[in-house]
Amino acid sequence: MIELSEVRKKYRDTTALDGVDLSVRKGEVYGVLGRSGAGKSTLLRTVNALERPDSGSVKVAGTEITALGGADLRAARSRIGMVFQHFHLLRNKTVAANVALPLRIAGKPKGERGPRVAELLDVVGLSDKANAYPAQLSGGQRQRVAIARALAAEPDVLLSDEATSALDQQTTVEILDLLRRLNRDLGLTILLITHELQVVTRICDSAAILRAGRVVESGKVADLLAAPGSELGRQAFHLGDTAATEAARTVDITFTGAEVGEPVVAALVRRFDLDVSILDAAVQTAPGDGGFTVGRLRLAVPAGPRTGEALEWLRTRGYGVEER
Amino acid sequence: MNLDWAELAELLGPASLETLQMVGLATLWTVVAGLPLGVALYSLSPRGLRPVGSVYKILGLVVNVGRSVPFILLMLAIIPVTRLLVGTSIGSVAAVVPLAVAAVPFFARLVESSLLDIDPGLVEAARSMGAHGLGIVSRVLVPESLPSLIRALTVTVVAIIGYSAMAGAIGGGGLGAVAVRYGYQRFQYDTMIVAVIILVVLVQLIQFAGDLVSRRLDRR
Repeated sequence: MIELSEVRKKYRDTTALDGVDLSVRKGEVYGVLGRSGAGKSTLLRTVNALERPDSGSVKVAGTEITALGGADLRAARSRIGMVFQHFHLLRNKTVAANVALPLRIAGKPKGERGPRVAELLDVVGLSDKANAYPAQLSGGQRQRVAIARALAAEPDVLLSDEATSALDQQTTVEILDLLRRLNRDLGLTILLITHELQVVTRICDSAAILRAGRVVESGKVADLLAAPGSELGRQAFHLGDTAATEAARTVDITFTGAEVGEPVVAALVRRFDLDVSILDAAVQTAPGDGGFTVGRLRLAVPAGPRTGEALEWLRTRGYGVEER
Repeated sequence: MNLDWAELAELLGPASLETLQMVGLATLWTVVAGLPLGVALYSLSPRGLRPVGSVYKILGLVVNVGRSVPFILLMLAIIPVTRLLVGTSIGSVAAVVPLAVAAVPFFARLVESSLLDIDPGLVEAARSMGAHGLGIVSRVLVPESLPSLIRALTVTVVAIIGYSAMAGAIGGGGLGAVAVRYGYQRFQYDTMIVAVIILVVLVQLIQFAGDLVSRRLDRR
C-alpha cells in the first residue's frame, strides 16, 4: 500500500532521511519507532508530500506521490488521512464543523456532509459533542474528533504523527484501541510514527526502527520480538543490566507461543546438571491474531564442559539463544 | 457656557452623519483592499503559504511607505487621484479616498500579524486534507483568526475616525471640520467640546462593539 525506496532528505547540513526503504502492506498497522530527531516526522510527511524528498520513490496505492503536483496531488492527499500530536483542530469551529472540514474542502454539498459527520462522530463515540467547541473537550476527545476528521473523506491510508504522545496513559490506550478497531472494521491501512514503544507492541502488526535517518531493523512485530538480538526485543523486554559472575555466562533465552509454559530452567538443571540462576525475565504479547506471546529469560549459566552442549540443545528445541 | 441646543443639533447632527458616512465608506474600502493585501503579505512572508522573499520585501516596502507618510501630506499628495475617482477633492465623500489609502496598509499589517499568530500545524492539517491556497485562507485562516481580525478592524476604524477629524481640517466634512472651524478658528469652544465629546463617544462605542463581537466569536 505504501512503498518507500531509497528516500533521502537533507536540511542544510543535517540528514533527516538517509536512504529509507519501507513497505507497508494493505490493511496493516505499521509503526515507525524512533527517538526525536531520528527523521520520523520527515518520513511520515513524505507519504503525503508535505515534505518532498531529495531523491527516492514514495508510492501510495501504486501512485508515485513524488511525481504529483497541483490538483492531482490534492486529490491524492484527500485519500490519505492524517492525525497529529497536538490535534490541530479549528478552535473557533464546533466539533461537527471540524469533522466536516475535509468534506467542504472536497466540495461535498451540505446535504451530504450532515449525515456523514453524524456517522463519523458515532464511530468515534462523540455523537453528543457535535455542537461543542474543542476547548470544551478533553485531550482524548479532541484526538477522537481529529480521527473522525481524518476519516471524513474515506481515505485508504491513515498517517499518525505521534497521535498519543500528548495524552495520559489511560487515554493513550483508548486512542490506540480505537485506531486498532478502525483498522479492523474499515480495513484502514495505518502508518504511525512514535517514540513510545508501547504503541508498537500494542497495536502494530509490523514495525521499523529509525535511527539517524536509517531503518536499523524492520519486520513483523512478532518476528522482531522473537528474534534474538533484535533492537525491538531488547527495548521491549528491557532486561536489567545484571551480569553473571566470572564463572558463568550470561545467556538470553527467547521463547514463543506454546514454549512459554515449558520448564526451561528445570530442563537445564536436570538434563545437563547446570545450576543456572535467573537474572531477569519478561513476557510480551505481540498484537495481531490470537495475541502472540513472546518471553525472554536472562540466565546465568555456569561455565562448564556441558554448557555449550546445553545451549545447542536449546537452539534445536526452537529457543532463541543469545550470549551476552 | 450658554448653549443653544437647537442650533447645536442643527450643526452637529448633519456633521455626525457625515463622519459616519466617511468612516463607514473608508472602512468598507479598507476591508475590501486591506484584507487581501494582508493575506498576500502573510502568504508571501517567510512563514507563509507560499513564501517569495523578493515580492514580500517589495510589498512590505510599499506598505511601510504608505504607513509612514503623514496623513495630512498623503491627503494633499493624492488629490489628483481623488479627483479622478470622485470628481472632486472637497467634501466628506472625497475624504474617503485618502482615508482608505491611509488605512489599507495599516490594516493589512494587522491582518498579516493576526494570520501569523495561527498555529502553522493547522495549515499543515488543511494541506494534508488536500486544500489549496485559497481554501486554506477561506476555510482555516480567516475563520480561525476572526476574533483577532475583528480586533484589528476595531483599531483600524478608531484610527480612521482620528484621520477623519484631520481630513475635516483641510476640506473634508464631518465632526472634525466643525470642531476645527468653530473651536480653533472662531473660538466657540462649547461647540468644539460637544463635537469632540461626540467623537469620544463614537470611539468608545466602536471599541465596545468590537470587543463584544470579538469575544463572542472567540471559542478558545
